[in-house]
Amino acid sequence: MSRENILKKIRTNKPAFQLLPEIDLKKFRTNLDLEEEFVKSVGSVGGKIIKVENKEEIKRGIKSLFPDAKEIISLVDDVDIGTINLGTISSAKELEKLELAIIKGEFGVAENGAVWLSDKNFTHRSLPFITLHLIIVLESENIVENMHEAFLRLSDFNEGYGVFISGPSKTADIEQSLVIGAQAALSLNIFLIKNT
Amino acid sequence: MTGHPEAAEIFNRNEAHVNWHDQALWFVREKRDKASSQIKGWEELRQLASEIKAHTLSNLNEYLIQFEKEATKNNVNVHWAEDAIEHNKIVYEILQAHNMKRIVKSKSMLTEECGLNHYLEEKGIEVIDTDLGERIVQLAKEPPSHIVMPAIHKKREEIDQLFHLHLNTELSGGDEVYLTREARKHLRQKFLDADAAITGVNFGIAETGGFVVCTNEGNADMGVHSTKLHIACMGLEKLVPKFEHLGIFLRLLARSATGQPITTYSSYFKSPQQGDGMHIVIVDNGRSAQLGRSDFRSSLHCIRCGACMNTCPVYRRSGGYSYGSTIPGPIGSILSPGFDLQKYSSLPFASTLCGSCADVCPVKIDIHKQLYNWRQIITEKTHVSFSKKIIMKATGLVFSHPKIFQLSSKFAKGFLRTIPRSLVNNLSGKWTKQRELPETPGYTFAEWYKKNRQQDVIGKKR
Amino acid sequence: MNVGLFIPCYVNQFYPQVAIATLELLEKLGVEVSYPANQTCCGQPMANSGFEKTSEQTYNLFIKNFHSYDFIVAPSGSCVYHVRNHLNTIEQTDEVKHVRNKTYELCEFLVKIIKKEDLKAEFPHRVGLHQSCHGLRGLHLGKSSELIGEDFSIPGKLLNNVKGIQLVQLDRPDECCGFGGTFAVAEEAVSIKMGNDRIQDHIAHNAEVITATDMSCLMHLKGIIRRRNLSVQVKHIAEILNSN
Repeated sequence: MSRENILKKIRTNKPAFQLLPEIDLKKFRTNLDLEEEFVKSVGSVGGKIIKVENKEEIKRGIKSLFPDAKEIISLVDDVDIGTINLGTISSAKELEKLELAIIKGEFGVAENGAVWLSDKNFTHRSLPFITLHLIIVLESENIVENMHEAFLRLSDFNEGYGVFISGPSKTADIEQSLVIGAQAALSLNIFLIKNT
Repeated sequence: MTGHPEAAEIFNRNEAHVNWHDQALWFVREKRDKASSQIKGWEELRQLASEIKAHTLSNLNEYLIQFEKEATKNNVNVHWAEDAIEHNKIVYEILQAHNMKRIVKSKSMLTEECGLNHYLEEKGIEVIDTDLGERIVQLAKEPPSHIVMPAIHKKREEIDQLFHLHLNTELSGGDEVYLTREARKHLRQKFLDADAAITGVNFGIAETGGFVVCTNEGNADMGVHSTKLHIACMGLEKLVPKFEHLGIFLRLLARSATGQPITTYSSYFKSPQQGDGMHIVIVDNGRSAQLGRSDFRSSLHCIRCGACMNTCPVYRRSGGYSYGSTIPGPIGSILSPGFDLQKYSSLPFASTLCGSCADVCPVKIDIHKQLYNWRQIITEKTHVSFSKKIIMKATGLVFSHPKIFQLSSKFAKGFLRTIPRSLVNNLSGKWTKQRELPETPGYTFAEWYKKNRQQDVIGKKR
Repeated sequence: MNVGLFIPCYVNQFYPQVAIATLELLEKLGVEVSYPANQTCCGQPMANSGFEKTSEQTYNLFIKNFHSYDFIVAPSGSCVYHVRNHLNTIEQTDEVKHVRNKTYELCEFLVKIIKKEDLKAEFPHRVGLHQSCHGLRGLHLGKSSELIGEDFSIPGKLLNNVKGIQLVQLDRPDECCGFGGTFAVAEEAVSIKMGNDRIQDHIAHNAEVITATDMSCLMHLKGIIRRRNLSVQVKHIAEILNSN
């Protein structure tokens, strides 16, 4: 009933049909270096970029950033420093003590330092949020310029969930003073590696 | 009935507080300016966003049907609520069916509009607002004063006291890092103990049946992924036709709201995790009526960024509470009269029609024009003080008859020069409370022209 | 071309020197200008207060007074904005359309129509330009600070050519002064606060004179300045452009 009432009111009240505008993405493209812009953007949103040549460097890098971390999940091949098998986890509660989550990012967006992750990259959707610290491994060639290009890249996306993550969680709700680390990950480190 | 002017006058009694509030919001406006100037094609984006929304509204019924169809295919339950009460009932019934008593909720102005928290709490359900700003005002038992920064009106010392009282924190002089960390611990427990999560919807995508929720804190995702039931509440105007359109809106939203290039988390929810439940409640509550008002229809473009509030010189100097409406500020002043013309009749007048709001609006709502248009409706349809009506009729009469105008000019100038100041002040009331009247020069331009140019032009041929 | 001089009602009443400056300026530039004596008002005060319907007779009188001129020029952005945008509630005859299309604010008339940017004026003072809102955002006399694009200002351009003038930079170059017509009395507290904040911005940057395209803004600011015994003065832009 409500559905019919609402739809009826809309049919009666809506304005004359207006066409969708043409969207010319060329208007938004620049000549900026994608990797350079991405690195700048990640920095400006409170994240950190570490450029590496290989996965060994990632392992070393993580060990030096988080020498005392004991509860680790790694979903990245050859960065096998995980101490918990995600396959054994059945609820978010079990991840409450998680210190590091290491996930492969699909692609990054230069204009805002965001990285796209989805059901393709991890099971247990709470993983990148409930972890104390989030680490993303991203191939440096997988960077697009802006959100238009991002959605072009996602035109075949068919998973049930995905998220753009730009930096660590944050808030400025107390007198506009920025605090890094709100309800989700306290930090975001992105290891930028040449395509493997 | 008190309205905006009375509340604003009280707000202005503490000038230091007004300055602090004004500066805080102006700072956000400046961040917005910086962010929007840093990308190529900002004005083009605004134009596209406006046209996409206008197109969507012109085909809204079809898009809602498409959205429902796709969402249903994705294992999502879609509900329709004609008004706030029905919305609240639907949410309650879903929770009751699963015997769920502890709810975590991320920011949703729609649920605020419907009074959901109060409704559920009366039925014995605990609702925790998990956005830090919203949690602060929830503990203070206040409504949000700004749609993006709900606790912008609160000083750190007040928040310090609040947390000390409710969360047993140490007194810290308002140390934001300490308080945020304590809030995190407190909210973490709430997330893990919760049965269900309620979120709003920033954008619903007709093409896929999915929707996007944007947060900086990650509280929407923490809530949804920690629980087995997700209820998303969506105003029916929040649809966009295609997934790719998010490219435009996600570039505009955070830059307009806070000056960030994007919120920390822009989460796309399409189908629930295995074994979980997901519901969308599509809400009308006056939106389909607004759709029928051709002068005001484009207010439905609104993506709730709050940029209009940050730029409004009146909002900054009167605060969100002065408006007495769920959504305050410029956008609130053109949405609210549609709900209750009498109650919100002062809002379209709480403006100088400066037009700054329309210039920052990412979806190009001509707010200042709609404020003007609401004024015409309000004077016609609501109780306007008798004296105001008479004065306006008299003014209309004077200005439409040259001879009367000229006579009254003579009278006015003489009047102002010879009557004692105190009487003039009394009669001219509000103008002279903090301002001098203009001086009277002793002659009008019309008199000067007649004397010095010796012409009495009726009209020359082109 | 002949130009009809349209003088806002309160300028006629309280600031005739602004009207005189406007007239003299146009005459100096060789413009054939006259002032139709039966004009009263553009109807903005009533319409902005929600009484658009009571303005219609005033609109008709306006058209009657001005339709036979090639251009109509006023030293007021808000009145011109009103004529161009809100005289749409009366029947749109050819005369009405002509008047609405050919009514110009003074600065835009100088720059766009008679294409004169240097008026050989001299005004050796520190001047703050208050960018009256209707002229700025309504008539696009300049780029507002909210919009992203190339900076420009028609009044600014004219002032920059005035000999000896020093234009000051403000913290908030285009925030509203708080006059807003009946807003000034209906929302008195906020109106005064806005006005005072504007004045303080000019004082903080050492402006001796605040100028604007709209005398209504300046009337409101001057009222506050006098009440608070502040030292900054106000002058309509026509007076500055006419000074030499």
